[in-house]
Amino acid sequence: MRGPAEGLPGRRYRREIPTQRTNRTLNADVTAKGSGTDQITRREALRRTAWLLGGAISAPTIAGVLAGCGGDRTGAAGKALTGRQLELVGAIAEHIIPETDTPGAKAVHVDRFVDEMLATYYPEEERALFLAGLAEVDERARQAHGNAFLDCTPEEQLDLLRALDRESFAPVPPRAKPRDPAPPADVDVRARLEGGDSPLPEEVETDTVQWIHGESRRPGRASRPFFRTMKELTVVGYYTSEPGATVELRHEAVPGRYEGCVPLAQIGRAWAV
Amino acid sequence: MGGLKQVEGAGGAPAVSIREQEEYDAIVVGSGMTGGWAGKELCEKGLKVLVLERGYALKHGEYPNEFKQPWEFAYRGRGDRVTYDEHYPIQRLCYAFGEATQHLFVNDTEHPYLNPEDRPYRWIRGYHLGGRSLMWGRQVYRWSDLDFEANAKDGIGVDWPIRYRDIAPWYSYVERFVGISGRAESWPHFPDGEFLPPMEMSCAEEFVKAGIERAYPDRLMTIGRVANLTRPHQGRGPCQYRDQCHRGCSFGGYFSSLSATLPAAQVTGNLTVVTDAIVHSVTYDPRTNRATGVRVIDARSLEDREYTARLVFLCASTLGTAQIMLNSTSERFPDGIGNSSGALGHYLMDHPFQAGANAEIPGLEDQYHYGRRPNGIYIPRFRNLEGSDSDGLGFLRGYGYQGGAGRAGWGRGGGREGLGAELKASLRDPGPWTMWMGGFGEQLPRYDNHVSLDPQRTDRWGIPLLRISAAWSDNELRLLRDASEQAAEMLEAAGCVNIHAYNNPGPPGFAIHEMGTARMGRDPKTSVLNGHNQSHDVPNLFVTDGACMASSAHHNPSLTYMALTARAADYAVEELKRRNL
Repeated sequence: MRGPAEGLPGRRYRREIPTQRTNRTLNADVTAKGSGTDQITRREALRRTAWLLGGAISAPTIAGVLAGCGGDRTGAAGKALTGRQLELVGAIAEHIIPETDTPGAKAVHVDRFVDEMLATYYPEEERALFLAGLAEVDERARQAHGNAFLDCTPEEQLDLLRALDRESFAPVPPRAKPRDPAPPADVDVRARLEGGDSPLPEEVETDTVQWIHGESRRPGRASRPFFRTMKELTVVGYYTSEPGATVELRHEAVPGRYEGCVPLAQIGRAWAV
Repeated sequence: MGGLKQVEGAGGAPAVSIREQEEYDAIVVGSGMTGGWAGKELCEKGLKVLVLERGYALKHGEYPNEFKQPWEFAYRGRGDRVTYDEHYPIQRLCYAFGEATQHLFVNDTEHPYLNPEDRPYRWIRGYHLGGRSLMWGRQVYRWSDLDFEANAKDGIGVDWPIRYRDIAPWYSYVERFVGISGRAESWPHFPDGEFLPPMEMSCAEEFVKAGIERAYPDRLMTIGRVANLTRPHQGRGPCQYRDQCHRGCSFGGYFSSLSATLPAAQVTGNLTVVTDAIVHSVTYDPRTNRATGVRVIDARSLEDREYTARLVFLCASTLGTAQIMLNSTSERFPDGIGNSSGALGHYLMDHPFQAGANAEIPGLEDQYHYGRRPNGIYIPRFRNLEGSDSDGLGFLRGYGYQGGAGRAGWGRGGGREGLGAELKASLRDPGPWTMWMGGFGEQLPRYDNHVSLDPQRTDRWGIPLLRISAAWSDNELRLLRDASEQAAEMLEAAGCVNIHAYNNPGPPGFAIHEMGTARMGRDPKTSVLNGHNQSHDVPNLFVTDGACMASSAHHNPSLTYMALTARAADYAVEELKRRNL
């Protein structure tokens, strides 16, 4: 055991977190990100993220994204999306979770949720990546069927989305050694498995380097294919909506009791939370 | 419940003179888990008590977001990521942090600390009335003599000045007030407590329990012992099974100082609470060799003031208390009050974890659950029960597991191929049963895991920044490897499939079980506190939060902190009566 008298080798201390405080409010944030971004920033962000798509962003796609962000505002525009982009997102979402005997994604306004998330949740780089992916949907629709996505038949649309879905889940060459999911401390497993107060399912990252260089960076995020983000936002937006949680699934705000073994038939559907 | 008698800081409060006129018998620094207990015990024994909280005022029953449903959150639970990345880079990693609870965690940008580049540390904090007792994990386990005797047997650290028999009545005392649901098991080295009825296990957990206990007769799986009320208790609760305790619970369904101890202190009429009061240091009179009170910086006005009392209890959390003590310097104590031993700030511990296994449980597709149980299962320590490395595995001490089973929800839909009506139909049913088991291990006390004050940099209140330097040793890493392997083996023996073992220990601090830095011990030359949490050097100074710990064991520590606090308060008041303080 080392005694108190022993000195420690000199270590270079660094500040874990900068002390200066920035006073930006959420609203100021939204404004800055939602509408004040100029096209140079957007183009630069696109250029910087192009490699993430394996260099797959073509010049027309970039032009399309830029036009979509600045120009065409025929429909009612959202905070981050033009009217037409909102329509496109709504159509894709509805294909992912369609109306059946219960409402689909469109009816619960997943398009507006995606717009809100793009405007305030995603940093510029990922927002640009999403918009590029959206433009690429149209481009691939034109290549395959000669029409923009919204002008294709529902069957053509679904075919294209199935292809995108398949591609987005295709095995990716491992970056490093595979990471293990680690459960958090003291946490109830239910929260982890089913949402609840815990962060919703997202890639768990436990990269040693990140603890040192600012833990906020999650390299897994930006490289995620567009369709995975689109699908995840659709699923989250749908099942956390009131109809998604209470009509499609089952929800009790205040259950009042716990029973560990109940026939599924008695509950009927999966719990929303 | 009526409002506490609160004096807020400069924000809206009466102007406070530079030196407070009112005389208190005792000052308690901190209003969290142990501050609440110190306040309650000292008030109930007739002392005029001032509880100081560095954070903002919060009222029981007025918890922001408590009744919000998923669709009422702007980010649907994902939170404002850009703000979190910028201002909450450490706190955001905590399992309890989120869109519903952000206000209960500190803004990292405003509350910096330092660590060596190669020794990262995660310090998870909440600065508000009630402290982390609002967001705690609520798992409560008694230590046994296997733990209290370990340092002496292994010749590591210093011997605990107490044994199980010294603390057992105090465990019972606090358990009876807290309200803990659990199952008595009569299991070696896993003492039972005063339990409310246990919560149920799910069918899948019953299946795993039966499988493990069949394959390993010397291992036990029991329902978690948790400070959630399975029936009304002391005018609180019961638990409503919402599983959102971290937001605060106006039903009082779980124990917090805000719902339980502070109100009990308040009804005595002896309690004063001051929020936004950051304790800078403990003041000291060399002529009497007594602490005279504390120096406080108002969090909002930055005004400097002093409070005096005959007795000072530091309950500011392990690292908060260490910071205050190190910053309390005088001619007599140039390196921090009560630090004649030189041990102050050293022997910092946490619990190594994030090693275990996940698996699927085959079958039981027609079974589900009702309600959201805010609790899991527990597997008590089964390694080295004869002490030291008695199992010959190459490590000292042991670990216990937390875990649980549930059926996957809709979240699985975004992470796999498939869309359209089939996707929707498949998510209408719950997914497969999944079981996880995560080990929580013991960290040995080591001198070089320590905190100190930065000689130059201060926070915006002029208090030197805390430098934290801690890392796991090989013992902890070997222990985690075994915990991971054993979890996988047990799940396999129980008949689970798709078993996935993991072993990814994060940096220390993240179990939020930080302890040590002002350890108890028998010898004033090697320890800061005696067997009653009393400073060896300054008789009217007590430290009863996690700073007092001489070893870490592997159990969630709050129950032991609470029992030690109640015990210390009892002793302190007796000593006051005997005029020894």
